[in-house]
Amino acid sequence: MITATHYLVLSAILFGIGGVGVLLRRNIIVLLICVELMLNATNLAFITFSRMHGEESGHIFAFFVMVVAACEVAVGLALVINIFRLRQTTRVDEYNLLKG
Amino acid sequence: MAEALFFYIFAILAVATALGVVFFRNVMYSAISVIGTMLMLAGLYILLKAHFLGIIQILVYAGAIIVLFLFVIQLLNQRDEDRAFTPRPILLLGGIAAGVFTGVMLVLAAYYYTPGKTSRISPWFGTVEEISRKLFRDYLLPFEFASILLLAAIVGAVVIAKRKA
Repeated sequence: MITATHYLVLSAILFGIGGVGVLLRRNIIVLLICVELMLNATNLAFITFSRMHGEESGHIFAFFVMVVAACEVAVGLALVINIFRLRQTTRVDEYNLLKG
Repeated sequence: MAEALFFYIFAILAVATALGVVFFRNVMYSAISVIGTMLMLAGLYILLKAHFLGIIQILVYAGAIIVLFLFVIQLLNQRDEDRAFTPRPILLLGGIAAGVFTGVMLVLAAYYYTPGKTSRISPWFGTVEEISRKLFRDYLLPFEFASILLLAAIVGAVVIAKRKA
């Protein structure tokens, strides 16, 4: 029998893996991908609680999380392209100046 | 029992592909791997009777967001990184921090919240009709704000990416 706890544990594991990626990797694009992973883990928790309570508001919240994630990726990748033009690298260690 | 079988297939593959995202050295492999995670999560959403969100997950994440990542990875033409990970002492510290955090989350998920049975739901739970009724009746204002946010993000992305350095 699969209970809500199974889904929540999976959600926690995925969130943790995303967190490990953000803390350990040095490539700005992998960092953004790992943030997406963490957002997806929270979506899974939202949908699990929504199923448990038989109430669809959780679906709406997950939907808005997706909207915000799409915005974040669009602006984030635009910034990455712009910084790459300046520094010719994707390593976050080298990004130590706000301008130039 | 079919539910348990599908849950474990999806869950194990989701964790495996998520680990792939973190531990592949090549950025391209990470981006391909995360597509797998998104697809497995879509399967889990459908197991949770969130059919609409499962489809949206595939369309928006696997179809749009990750493809955007792939385009940017190819555009940037990065050199092969000699070290994909942080230097060792910081790596250890980050690993411990993330491990402790995940442990706390797991304990919370496993013990502090012990629900009884999942509540009964109507056969239309999670379908487009029900979601849209909720979205356009109870959450209309946030929906409109979301469209303003998307417009701002589109304009912002174009302006930032076009600016000549």
